Amino acid sequence: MQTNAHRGRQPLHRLVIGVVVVMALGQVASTFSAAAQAPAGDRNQAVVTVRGMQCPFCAYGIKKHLAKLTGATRADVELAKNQAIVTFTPGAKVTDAQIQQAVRNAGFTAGAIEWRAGTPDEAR
Amino acid sequence: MKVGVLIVPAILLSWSARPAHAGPITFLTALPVASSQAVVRGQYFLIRATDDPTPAERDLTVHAVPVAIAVGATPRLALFGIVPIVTKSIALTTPIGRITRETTGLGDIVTFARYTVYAVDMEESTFRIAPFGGIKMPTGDSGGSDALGVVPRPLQPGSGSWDGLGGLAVPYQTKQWELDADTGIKKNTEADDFRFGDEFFADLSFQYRVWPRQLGAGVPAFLFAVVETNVISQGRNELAGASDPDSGGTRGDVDLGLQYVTTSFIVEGIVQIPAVDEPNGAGLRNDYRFTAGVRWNMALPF
Repeated sequence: MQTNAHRGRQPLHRLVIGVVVVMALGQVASTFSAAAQAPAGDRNQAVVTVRGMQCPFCAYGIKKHLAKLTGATRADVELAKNQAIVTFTPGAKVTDAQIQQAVRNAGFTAGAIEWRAGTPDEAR
Repeated sequence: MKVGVLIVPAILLSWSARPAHAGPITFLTALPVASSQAVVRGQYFLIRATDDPTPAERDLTVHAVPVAIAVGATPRLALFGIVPIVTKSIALTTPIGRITRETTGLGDIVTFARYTVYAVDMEESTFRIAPFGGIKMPTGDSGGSDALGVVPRPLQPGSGSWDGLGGLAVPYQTKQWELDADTGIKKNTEADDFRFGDEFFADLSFQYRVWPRQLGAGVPAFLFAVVETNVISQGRNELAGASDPDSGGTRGDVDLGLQYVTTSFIVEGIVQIPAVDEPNGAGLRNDYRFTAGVRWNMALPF
């Protein structure tokens, strides 16, 4: 009986292993796919969610502080979207923490930061 | 010349606590001044007070041009300085006929600090609480005279005294509207046997964006319609230790104004009309007060 029961569970084990393998391959494929879409060197534009920024006068300090980040070529604000968009020179060494600190120095709070490929003229 | 002392003196408070960031026109807000950034504000005040219950028929005009600067020392700490230039003149009927007394000069410089103790930044709003406190320095002339002798103290450009002020500012701001409130006191001290009455003030401001109706790309300029209220209550002045029964009182203004806000500057104007004006004794009532101003955002090199 035990032997029969053991044999009965084998298809289930195979199914679980198969699912795990497929998920792992999917994750690997996804990683390679994302890398292909936006290689690290091309993701030179940070889209920063800024919390608390509600009026044009407030945007001034945010733009100035973000534009002072090392490698930043321009900083723009999309007030309606609560976003600041910072474009960096390719290969610029800047971290999310530095961007968050720049927003804090302007008196506001940084939310999510999304990196994407952008050109210096894109935000103009 | 006691008649001159009868002037409702709350005008001295007019620039004592009121430079700021975008927000209210007649009082302080607690919106941030970024570190390494300054906001420079130039204003012009015109105050007219002619409702005199006495035979003196006093007619007071005050022109003031305070220039203020707010510097962001840290994201939460802002330092303020205000330098006023003021002209005060009063015409009144005396036994020798109608006379005019006038002074012009540098007023008392005010400096204070504001610290944001609580801030909640959301994507669609911000709420802050910031106490502020500082001093008014006796930089203005308080002993000027004209052909008739020494001009009464309330007409002098300066008070002659070191005074302290403190309070709390609370804004709630969205992209469509903003509500600001502040309250505080100004504790006046004695100088040359004269002491202005202590002052209590409370203000409320509602700003509604009337243009653009829909926000476009980038950072569009805003035009706000502004409604504000100001309550000022001041104790009686003391001259040589004696209380002046015709000084101090309570006034409540309702203000209507417009404010044009861009990224780098603000242009604004507002008219304050007394809704409640109860000066003590034979104090002079305000007719109106007009304020126009400009603010500039400036990045500092340090």
